Amino acid sequence: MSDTEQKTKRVTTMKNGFIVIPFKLPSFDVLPSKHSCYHYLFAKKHESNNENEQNCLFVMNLPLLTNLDSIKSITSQICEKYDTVSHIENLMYNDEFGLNEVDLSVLTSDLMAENQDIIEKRFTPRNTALVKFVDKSSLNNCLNALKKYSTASKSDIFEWKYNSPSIETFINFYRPLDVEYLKEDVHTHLSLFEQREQQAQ
Amino acid sequence: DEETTHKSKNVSGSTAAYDIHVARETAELFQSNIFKLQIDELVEQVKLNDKHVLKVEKFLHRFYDLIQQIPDWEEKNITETLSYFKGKSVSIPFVDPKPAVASTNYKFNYKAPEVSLIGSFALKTGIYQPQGSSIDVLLTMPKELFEKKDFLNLRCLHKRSVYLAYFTYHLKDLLAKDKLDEFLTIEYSYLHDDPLLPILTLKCKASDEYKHELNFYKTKFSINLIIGFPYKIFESKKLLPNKNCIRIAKEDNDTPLPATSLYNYSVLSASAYESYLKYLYKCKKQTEAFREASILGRLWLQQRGFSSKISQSGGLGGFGTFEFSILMTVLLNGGGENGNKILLHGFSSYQLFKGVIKYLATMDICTEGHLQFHSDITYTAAVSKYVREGFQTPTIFDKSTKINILSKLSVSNYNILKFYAKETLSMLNDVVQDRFSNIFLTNIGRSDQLKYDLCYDLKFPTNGSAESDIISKFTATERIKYITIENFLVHKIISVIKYALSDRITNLEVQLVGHRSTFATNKRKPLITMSPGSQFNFDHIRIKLLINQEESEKLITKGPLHSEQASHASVLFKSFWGPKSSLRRFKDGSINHCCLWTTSSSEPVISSIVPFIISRHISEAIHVDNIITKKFQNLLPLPNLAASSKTSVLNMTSFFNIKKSFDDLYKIIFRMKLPLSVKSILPVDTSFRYTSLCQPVPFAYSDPKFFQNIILEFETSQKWPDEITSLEKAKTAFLLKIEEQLTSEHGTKYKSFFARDESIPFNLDVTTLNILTPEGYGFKFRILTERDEVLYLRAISNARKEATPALENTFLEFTSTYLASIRHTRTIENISHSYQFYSPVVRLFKKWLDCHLLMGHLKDELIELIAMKPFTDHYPYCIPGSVENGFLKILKFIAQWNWKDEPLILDLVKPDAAYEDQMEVSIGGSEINSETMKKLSEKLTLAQYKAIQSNFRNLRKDDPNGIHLQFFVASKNDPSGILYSSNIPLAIATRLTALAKVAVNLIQTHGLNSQTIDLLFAPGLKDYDFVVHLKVPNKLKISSGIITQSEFKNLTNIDAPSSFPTDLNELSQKMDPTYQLVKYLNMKYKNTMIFSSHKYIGVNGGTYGNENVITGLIKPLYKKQMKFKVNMDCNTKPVDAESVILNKESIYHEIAAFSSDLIVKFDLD
Repeated sequence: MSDTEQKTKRVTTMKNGFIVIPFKLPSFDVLPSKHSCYHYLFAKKHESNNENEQNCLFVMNLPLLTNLDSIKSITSQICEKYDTVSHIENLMYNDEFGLNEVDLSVLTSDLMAENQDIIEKRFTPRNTALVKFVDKSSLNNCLNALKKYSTASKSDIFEWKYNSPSIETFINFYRPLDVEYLKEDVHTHLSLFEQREQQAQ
Repeated sequence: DEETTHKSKNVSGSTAAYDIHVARETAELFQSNIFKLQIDELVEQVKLNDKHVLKVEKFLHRFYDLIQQIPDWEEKNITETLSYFKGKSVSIPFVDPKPAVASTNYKFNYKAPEVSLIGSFALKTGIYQPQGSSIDVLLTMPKELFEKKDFLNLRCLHKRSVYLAYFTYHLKDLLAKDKLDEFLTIEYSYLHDDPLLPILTLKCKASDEYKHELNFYKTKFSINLIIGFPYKIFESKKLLPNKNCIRIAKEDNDTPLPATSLYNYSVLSASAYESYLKYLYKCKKQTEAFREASILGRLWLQQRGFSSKISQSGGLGGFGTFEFSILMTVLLNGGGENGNKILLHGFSSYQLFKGVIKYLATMDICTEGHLQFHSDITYTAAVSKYVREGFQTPTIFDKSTKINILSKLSVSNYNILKFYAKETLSMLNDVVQDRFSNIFLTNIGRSDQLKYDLCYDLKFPTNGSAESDIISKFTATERIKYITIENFLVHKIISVIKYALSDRITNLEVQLVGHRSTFATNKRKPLITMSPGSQFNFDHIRIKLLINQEESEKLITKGPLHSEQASHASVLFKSFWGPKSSLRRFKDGSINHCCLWTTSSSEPVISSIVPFIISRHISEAIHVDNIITKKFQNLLPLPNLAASSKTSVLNMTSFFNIKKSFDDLYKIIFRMKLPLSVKSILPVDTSFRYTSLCQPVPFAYSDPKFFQNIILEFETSQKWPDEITSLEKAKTAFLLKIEEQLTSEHGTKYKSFFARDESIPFNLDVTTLNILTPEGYGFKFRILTERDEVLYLRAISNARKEATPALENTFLEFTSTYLASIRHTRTIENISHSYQFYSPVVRLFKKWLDCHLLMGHLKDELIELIAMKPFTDHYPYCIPGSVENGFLKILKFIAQWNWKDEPLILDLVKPDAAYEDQMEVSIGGSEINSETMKKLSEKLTLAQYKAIQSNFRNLRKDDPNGIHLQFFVASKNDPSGILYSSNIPLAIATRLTALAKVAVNLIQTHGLNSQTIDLLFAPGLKDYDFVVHLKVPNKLKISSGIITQSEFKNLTNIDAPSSFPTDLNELSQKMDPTYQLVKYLNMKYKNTMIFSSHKYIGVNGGTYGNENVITGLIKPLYKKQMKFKVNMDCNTKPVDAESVILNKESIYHEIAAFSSDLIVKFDLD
């Protein structure tokens, strides 16, 4: 949303009920900084019969490398601004890089079939996630604060703080795995597998 | 019992052989039927336009009337003749040397000629040619103008020149009177480039401006007026090819004067035009398919650059449509050793064409024998036959006229012709693939760099020093033998190159670039403009070579045995090579004369030999230029290895070293005591098939291909877990055991560590064991079990519908990484020994792809298969014999590949297997021995080929425009054709095609030179939506094992790692962080954008290998407003309550945040 665009009417809610939540973006030396830029998150109360997914907010388009801490931090800022509190328990199904779109283990195992239906029916589209609150009131508090925030004036919009990776982050991909950890992991997993197998028999 | 088994085997063997034979015959029949349809279509397409023929015939009638109006002349002596033409607008096109006034006693005259049409227009075998075709009109001089001895000393030729000049003078006058000169131009030219045969050419001016009913400009015809001698005017016997007919004074009376075969031919053939027309016409009447077959011959020759021009003055001449038609006619009248007919009148055009090609390919009419015939059609007993007596020059001898039809064909051109005939015969015998367009439709002569492996330009200095060197060698004897100094020079160059390069080359052509054969009617001969004072009719000379890959890079030119009494051969060798020649003792104890050469990474050995011999035998002043080969070879990354700049591009030592290191490790692991014994350890990566962009260099672990993938398989076991994560953990347990044993038993030499592997999507539990060998190489071991495939397939069947494509892709990735990679590596490694230039070519192609940021999107295997196309499926060209030739052929193929409609089907076999197999069937046909059976089984069969084609058709049914899969690349190893090319974004595939098209276009328009080659390898960053420039903290070029030629060797070696760090964590410091960055960007924005970067930062990352770029393309769908949806997977901003648009600014911020430590510049569109 550039300054010129600001003059046109700002969209605060989408027709299908999603609240539009803007964040001002930090400036970068390498990028032109003629005007402020914004990121838009879309959020809506999540309705589900699934026990795990009660008190959840369905969010779309989380910014880069968002994690539980960053979502906690920004919601508490917003809630604070509108004099309320809300507690987040978890950030679920946030699979930014699509690594877990498919669970091969579940799909190849007969032993794990009991959970398969539930897991397989659960399908969250890419670029979406669920923010789970500790209780209903937390969810409602947050939702109300977000509604207010979505209509806040330009000057009241918070700046998003990215979690920037360092060179080390990328170089770490090349680092050797810790052998002791690996041994432990293999051992634990295989004994668990054997146990299950025996149980199944 | 044994006997019975043996018998039954025999029976089944012969049944199989019989079956194959029948299948083959059926296939051949099918192929020839297809061919027939294609021929019909082709002949229809090249048909002359009837209206055009009528138009030009109308002109010819009028023209005939004009000729009749030219007045007869009175007999004149030389002085009178010269004074007649003095001050007139027409010169006499005297051939060299022109008659001297003092010694010319004979008379010149003009009397009305006999006019007739000859050539293909008369024979009605002409075709439409885009550049226009010519009509030959013969004007035969009357008998009374000649004396018996006029065949001697150019007399008849001089008489003809005067005759032509007189004719031209009056014709011009008559044309002007009728105002025909408004649209006509006339000029002299040498027919077939023969400087003894000036003719007059009539053309219409290239403009629509001149409205005249006779203007035939649109027909694109031109008219050649050829002045002929009366039939049998001279005693033919005296003009036999071995006779001397130009007498010159010489000091030494003992040696006879040399034969003047070129001159003799020129005189004799000028009196035989009509008789050959009759000879061909008679045969055409008897043979229904004659016309079609000669059209096929014409096209075949044209596409290969052959014509009737005399080959002695360079270029591919000596065999054009006339010679083809004569040969065909000769073979219809006999041609076998007993005069048996090689071709029958009832043959189809396909059979006639194939018969002539087969004769050319398999019969020797130069060294071992010749073909003789009678052109006299009244001689009824005339049979032609093959005679086992070779004249060391290609010979089809006409006993009626004493003419050798092939006089214009040089030995070296005959060899090229024979070579093409062999290639074409193989194509005609190919029952699997349709070769029609390769035989008739592709013009292979369009680019020298595609047709030949190496080209050298000989440039003459402007001071004339090179010319005076050559003129001093061009004695009177040479002059009568070669007629012109250009012919002499061409002959000389061919002889020295053939002697010097010997078996290093298979064929050569010498071309006089800028040779002129037309000139204005007021000139005596073509204007020479090479340089002021130049006497040569060309700009420069081009030597074009086809390489013998087995021999081209050998270090020693081995000469004759050394003996106390110098043999003729050794004297010749020593004087030829001069200071280069030395004596050398060989392993077998023999001492030979020889020359020693050095190899180089920038140039082939031939590039050292050619300038040396040109300087020694032609002229020191000539500059030999071949910048292209050097430029291309220098583009290959130079490995940081001892003497690498002195190592030939064909040298595979660096690859053999890594293989040796692997073999040692292999033995260690094979001997290990493990719960399951090892069944196989198979390398599946690029260095093992000689295709890695960078050559393997010890300790060069910044090279992305440093760790070579190895697949390890154990003996069959039922105990592998039946669930994928557990299976991978079990595999890791095995790898841990291997690591344990390796450390305990070989820990002082070998180092190892474990790494996560992400090559199979969604399988996050794959671990590899990376082993570092004492020799400095790295291998990445992964385990394959018989359970893997089952589990991946199970996952597909268990998955919800939306996830199926993703899982199918996972299965494809597994198959290509674990299974097909084994076959692929084995096949490429195996056949690349037969295609020596494959390795450097594919490596250069990979460099080109990485320059253009495409390597990250294309699998090595796919690239290698595409690069194999010009080698295993080389028709109509030859197998590449230089880096540039192979590379340019790949680009040409990609540029032309319409992947939407055409699959790429590769027959991955060695060249000789393919060739011999076909030859055998073509000659014997019925006998198929076990060897042939084996070869047949290696080659793709028709059934397999058809099956692959049907796979392609099925694929295109669902994806007609190739949106999902563009490159269908199949072989016996992968009939599905999709193994390595699924998952390529459409934009990347089209970019590859577009880049290749631009490259080919650039070369076609501007030629190959230093600038254009640089441009070929310059990435076009402007085509992307945005570009991010990155810099990494460590310089990665030296640690990738690469140096530049100019770099001071010792200095670079200090920086190059010579061991592995003690703490293996430190390895990562010299690895490329940008690769991971781009990988994750592509994963995050998979749906909306495509990110590209240089994968080989050591090669393409600037001077030090520490720079990279990330380019971004936004998919077209996301460039416009869209409806807000939950599953849109896209970073957007709202436009109104229902619509959103891509939030580019936010994405740019995310990219900037993600690359924060590496980014130096962000270019937005």
